[in-house]
Amino acid sequence: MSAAASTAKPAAARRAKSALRRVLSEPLGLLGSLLVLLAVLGAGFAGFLAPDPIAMAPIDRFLAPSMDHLLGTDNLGRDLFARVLYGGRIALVVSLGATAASLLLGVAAGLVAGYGPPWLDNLLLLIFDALKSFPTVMLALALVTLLGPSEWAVVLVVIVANAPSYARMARTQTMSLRHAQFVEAERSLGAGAGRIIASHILPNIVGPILIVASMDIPVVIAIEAGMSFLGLGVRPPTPSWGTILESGFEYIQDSPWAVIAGGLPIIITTLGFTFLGEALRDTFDPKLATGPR
Amino acid sequence: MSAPALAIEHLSVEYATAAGPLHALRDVGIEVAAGEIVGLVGESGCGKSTLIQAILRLLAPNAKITAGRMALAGVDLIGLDPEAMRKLRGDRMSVVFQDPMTALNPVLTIGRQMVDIQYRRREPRAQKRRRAIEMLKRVHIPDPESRFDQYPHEFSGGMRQRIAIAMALMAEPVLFIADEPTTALDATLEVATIELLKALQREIGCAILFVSHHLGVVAELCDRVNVMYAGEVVESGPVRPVFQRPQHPYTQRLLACDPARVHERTRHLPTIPGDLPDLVALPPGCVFADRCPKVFEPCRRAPPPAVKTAELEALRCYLGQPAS
Amino acid sequence: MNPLLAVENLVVRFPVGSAIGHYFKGEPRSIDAVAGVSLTMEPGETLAVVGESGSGKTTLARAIAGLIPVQEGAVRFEGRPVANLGAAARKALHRQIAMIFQDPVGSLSPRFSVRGLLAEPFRIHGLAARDLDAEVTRLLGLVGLPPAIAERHPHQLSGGQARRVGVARAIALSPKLVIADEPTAGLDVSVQGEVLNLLNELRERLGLSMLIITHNLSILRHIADRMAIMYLGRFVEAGETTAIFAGPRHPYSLALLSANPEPDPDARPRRIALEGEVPSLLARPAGCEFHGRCPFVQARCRQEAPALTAGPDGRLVACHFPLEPAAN
Repeated sequence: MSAAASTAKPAAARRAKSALRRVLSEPLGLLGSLLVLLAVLGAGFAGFLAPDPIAMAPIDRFLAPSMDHLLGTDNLGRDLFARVLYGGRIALVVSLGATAASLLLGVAAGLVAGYGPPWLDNLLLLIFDALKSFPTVMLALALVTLLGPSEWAVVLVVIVANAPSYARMARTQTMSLRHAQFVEAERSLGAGAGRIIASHILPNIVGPILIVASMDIPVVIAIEAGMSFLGLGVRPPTPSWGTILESGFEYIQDSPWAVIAGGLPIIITTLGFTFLGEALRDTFDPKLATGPR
Repeated sequence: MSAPALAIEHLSVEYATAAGPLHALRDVGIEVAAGEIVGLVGESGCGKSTLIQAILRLLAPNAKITAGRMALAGVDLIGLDPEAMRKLRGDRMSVVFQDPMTALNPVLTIGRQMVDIQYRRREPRAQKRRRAIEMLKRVHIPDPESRFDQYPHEFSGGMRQRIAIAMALMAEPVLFIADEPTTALDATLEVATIELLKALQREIGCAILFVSHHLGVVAELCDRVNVMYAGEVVESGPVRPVFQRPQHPYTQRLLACDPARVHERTRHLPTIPGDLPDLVALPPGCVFADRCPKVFEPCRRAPPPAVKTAELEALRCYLGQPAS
Repeated sequence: MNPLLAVENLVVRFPVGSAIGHYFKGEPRSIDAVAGVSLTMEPGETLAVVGESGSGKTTLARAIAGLIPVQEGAVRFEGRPVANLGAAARKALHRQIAMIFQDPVGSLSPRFSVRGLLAEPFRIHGLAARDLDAEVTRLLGLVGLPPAIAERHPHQLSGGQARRVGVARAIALSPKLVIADEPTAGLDVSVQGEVLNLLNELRERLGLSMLIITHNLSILRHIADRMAIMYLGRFVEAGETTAIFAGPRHPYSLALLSANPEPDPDARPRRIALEGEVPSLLARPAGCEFHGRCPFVQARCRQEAPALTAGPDGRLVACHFPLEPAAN
């Protein structure tokens, strides 16, 4: 096999850049990236772009969109555009945070289950399967009854809902790598289980799991919005897309704009993350041929 | 005189890569007469796999045939549409690959697989079954009637390879391509498989293109041999002259390096120092020039053409040619 | 003076099948991948263990390296017992006995650069305080690789280069014994010599002892002083390499040695063709385990298993009717 002419350090950066280029060259990838960027920038610059989201002005309730109120006002006269942008913060922070937590716990548990002794594996599998068997809504209701409604309840629901799948994925990958020759080689050098799991197995399995997690983000956003809609998530007056929707439905006879304001961002971010996740998955598909071998 | 089983002339194949076009095969010419066994010898990176994929018209999407002709028993392969090509594969030409562990579908019994691939024949199932069992007997699978309904994982690697050979030869193809079929097998199994191939080829009369990097096996099995290096055929002819009086320095070094040839115990086995050239940015002269112990001035100017000599069909080397 | 390595009647057993299969169908509960092997090695020596798939040679190597537990017998390294050690003692052993694995690229962790791979042994044993860059350069120099290769990743290396990195990694902590599992596997013929030359050179320079596991007989002559031939988990013949090549005494050895076609079309191979396939470890033949395939089988072979006995010249053979030199 001829030796490649490239060296490793710039190669990693080149791989990342070419991956980015590949993602952006796909129409869906481009669209997804733009939508996600829109959501992130909107949430980030909410302070500059919109007025106070919780300032009430009962005189101005149910106004239609105008230059002063880009999406109109809700039943308490609060600016809907501002509420959407600030609600975006909740949505993104909670969903990204909860996803990160699920990944951390799930992958760690999966690594241990995959590499450890069979009794530990069986025990952990039991726990994963038990957690997965809870229907999400029931779980949400049960947790909120115990803990009271809050963002943390949402995070906990997401973790319980998602971590077992990541754990199973991590476990399967770990089990297939456990007998790989490079792992055995490191064992023969004296590496302990911790070192092997952290340095030699984790970096090789984390890629596909991250992609799956990125495609789960829309689901997590929906969980947050759903729980807030049911009053199990963020408490008023904190704006969340779910609470916007909830009050919108209550007063839908008076004005449709709250419902539109609540539903639109959910649609945009869901589409955005889904397209982006699929484009990422296609980009990292190893079956794309780039040479004779 | 019938058309040769396989006639390849001036074949060139390129891959489109990020760094530019990669010239995987350059002006390759190979001929396999009907009923002949021809060897293809070369190490990693010589283009053997690309050549086989080209013959089967199963090249990767970023590869294309940029020049040359290929014909199977007189039928042009390059111009053929995919449907017609599909009809040829498995029927008039068949292949056996290196890895017996993954050659067979693990979820179907071997009997089912052997009957399924006879789908082109309009015969009752029972007759196909009989033919399959007969073929298993010919490749020395013990107790074929009862093993017919077993799954691939119940057979050893050597047996799986024999089953794969049986499946490939059942259709009595014009050309049988064997891509390193014995590389993954132990030495005693390897020689048994070679004997098997010899016997089967005598019975069925197909032509065989035998690809291998194992020189001893090629010497024993083949009538003629082609030596490939970095995408070119550098020496080609009957086995005796090529193995006993090799003219190309690469062939000479390759034979010298074979540890089987070195009978005296030595601490310093011969090797070929250096690496394969970059096939994207080809050197201007002979592709072996940088590693050639006999390199001289004309070698770096232009690639040597393939010349016919008294004993060889083709030799790409300025050394073997009269001074111009 | 203790031998460097002494293995006595080693048995490595793996459980197979299910309890139900055992109780109701009489299937065996376990297979003996290594079924009673004894060998000794002196410092500075190279011993080759030869066998085909299923012979147990890789399992033997792993057991000696401390990677798998052994069920019976003993392994002594410099006089100390080293089989079935606890984690801490095993880690110390790994500094003394290093292993080079079969797949040149596959035995290198894919996300690590060559620099990282060569630094791992030092980090693992708490020696990271040393100047690791200097060590990496030193090791690359020992195996004949340019320092620039330190930045590459395994998939960017050729088979020969990856193999050398594996060798460099194995000698990083100056072990006393290096076990090489199929050192020439996956390498082209033109680079096989490079690896063998390198191993020979390192053995002399660093005073290493080597245990070579292989099924490639053609390389043995050039690297091993003594060799042992394994079949179904046992040695069938053992002795000096040149002597065995000149006159094998066990029929299996003869078959193996003759199964190497020469790259000469006129070479008339005087080949011993073996019948059948290697028997499954689940159903070991009675008597001499080779009797079903032996071209010289006699009645006694089917009933009585021959013991590995030493001849006057030190050659060990396990055969009731060992071949005479005239028979070759």
